[in-house]
Amino acid sequence: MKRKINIVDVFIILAAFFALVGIGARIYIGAAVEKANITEYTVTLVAKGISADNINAVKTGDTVTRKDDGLVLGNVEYVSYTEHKTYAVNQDNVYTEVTDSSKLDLTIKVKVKGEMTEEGFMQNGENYLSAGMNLTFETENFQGKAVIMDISNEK
Amino acid sequence: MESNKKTKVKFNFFDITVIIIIALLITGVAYIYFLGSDSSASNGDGINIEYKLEMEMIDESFGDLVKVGDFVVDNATGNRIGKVTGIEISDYKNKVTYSSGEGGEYFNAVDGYINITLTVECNGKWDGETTVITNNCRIMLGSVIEAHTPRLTFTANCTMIQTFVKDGGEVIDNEA
Repeated sequence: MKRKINIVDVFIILAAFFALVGIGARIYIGAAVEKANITEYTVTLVAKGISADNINAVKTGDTVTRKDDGLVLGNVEYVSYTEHKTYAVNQDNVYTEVTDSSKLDLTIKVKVKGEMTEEGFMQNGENYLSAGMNLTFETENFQGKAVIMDISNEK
Repeated sequence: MESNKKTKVKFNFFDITVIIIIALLITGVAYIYFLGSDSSASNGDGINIEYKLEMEMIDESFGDLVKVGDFVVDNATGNRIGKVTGIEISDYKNKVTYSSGEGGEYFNAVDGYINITLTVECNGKWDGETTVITNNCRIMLGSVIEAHTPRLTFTANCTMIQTFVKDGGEVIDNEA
C-alpha cells in the first residue's frame, strides 16, 4: 500500500525543520560569539617559598599544566626568582620581616586564551580562573603550589 | 455514496514517532532559549538577608578586585549565594603582646596585607539565629566560606547575619 503524505505530515516536517534550524542557529551563533571574544590574557602565578635548589627549574617557553585535572594553562612568557621574605615572631608577638635564603619566591606569567565574562575570566570560555585561586601546577621540570595573583589583558 | 464519504485521517506509528520527536525538539529549543543560560534557579520564597564575609590577611593587590554589585558564588556548588553591597578594607593587624615593664598589648599593621569585609545580600531562609540557606547553600555564623566573585577567589568567615526590609518591601532575587 502506497502511503500518501497528508497536510498533517507536511506541518510536522516543517515544524521539525524549523526546530532543527533553531537549535543549529543557537549553537552556531553561541559558538561564533564565544570564539570572537576569546583573546590572550596574562595570568600571573606566584609560588612562595620554593626550595632555592629549584632556581631556574622553570624557564620561559615551558608549558604550565594544572595538576589536578591536567588543564594546560599555557606557556611561560616571563619568569623571575626573588628572595623569600617571611615574618619572624618574637616572644612579644612582634612580626619582623626576614629573608630566608634557603627559599625563593617564583613568579611566572603565562599567556592564557580566554574571555572575560560577567562570571569572571573563563579559559577557552569554560574554565573559571581568578586571582586568589590556589593551584598545584607542573612544568617540564618543576611541580609546585601557586596562587594566581593577577589576570589581565596587558600586551 | 462513495463520493460523500469523509476522509478520516488516521494516525499511524510513523506519525506518532514524528510527533514525539517534534515535541522533544520543541522542548529542547525552549530549554536552550529560555533556561539554558541560567543554570541556577532563584529561590524567591525566602526573605531578604544580609551577611558579612571577612577575609583576613589578604594580599593588598587583591583590594580592588571586588566591586559592589558582584555576585558571590559558592565554590563547591557553583550556586550564587548573594550580591556584594558593601566593601570595607582595612590594614591587617596582628596583636602584639609584650611583657616588658607593666606589659600590655597593641595592634601592629603587617605590610602588604589587608583585611576585606564584604556585605552580601541574598534571598534565603534563616533560622533566626545562626544559619541561612540560600540557593541550596548553607551559610553559618562563624563558618568558613569558600567562594568567588568574578575576579577574586577567597576564603572568608561569616561574621554577621541579619534580615532586613528593602525600601518598598522589595524581595531580593538571587539572580538579578
